[in-house]
Amino acid sequence: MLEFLDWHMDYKGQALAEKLSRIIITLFGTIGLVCGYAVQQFSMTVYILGAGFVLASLLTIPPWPMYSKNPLNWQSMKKDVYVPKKQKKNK
Amino acid sequence: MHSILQRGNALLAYVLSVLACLTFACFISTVFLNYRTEVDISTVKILVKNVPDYSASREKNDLGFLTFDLQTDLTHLFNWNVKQLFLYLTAEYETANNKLNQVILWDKIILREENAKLNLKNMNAKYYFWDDGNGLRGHKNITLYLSWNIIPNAGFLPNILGQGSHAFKFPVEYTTSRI
Repeated sequence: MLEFLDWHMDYKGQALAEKLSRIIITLFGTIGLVCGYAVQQFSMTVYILGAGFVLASLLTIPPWPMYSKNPLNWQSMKKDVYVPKKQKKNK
Repeated sequence: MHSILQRGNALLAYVLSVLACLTFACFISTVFLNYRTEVDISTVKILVKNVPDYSASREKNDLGFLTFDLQTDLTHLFNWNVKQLFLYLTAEYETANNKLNQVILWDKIILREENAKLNLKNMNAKYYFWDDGNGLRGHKNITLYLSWNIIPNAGFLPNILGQGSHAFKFPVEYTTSRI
């Protein structure tokens, strides 16, 4: 599979995605409020907010590569550590 | 943790919260507006008959007939928090039976895109003008009012009384012929 379809974001990526989604939705909401008031049509406000929702969904829901730039550096596995084997189930 | 579904859920919840805030802003921006305006009502033809009211009892009650003219411009009442107007014409009068009688004679719905500049001539009432007795014949002071409900996107459902009314008299004699 492609790497970015790993459904995974690192911690900084998660924070970035959340921040980005909040900014996009708030921005579109504000623009929608101004436009809707200007044309005196509340459906305009709702549609602009809907456009913001679609944009934010595309940008921040899929785990794009930009959200995986700070992977955690795990300690490498030691070879002499005891790893218990899977026990057989008693039937 | 922090899967696609969680991100989608958080996003949708935030969008709905923002939408609620925007709706509230729309409500606040229109809540203090004055929706009253001038209305010009007049009557053309007025008759009163004395006929059995089978819908209530079988006794003969007074039934008024009238045609009216109505002129008003409600275009400026529409804003982004008004979906439609519900106009209704009320006749108010006092009889020996009741201190206050209110009868709705006619109504009309005006949607946003429709023409809200009304210039109606010689309109018939839509609903029967029944009195609950014999109070209409020769009555000297029946007053017609136009009121409207504002149907909003969000907020209150105000009931506005139009500025301007029309008082008229009913004839002293019953009309017996068919109209």
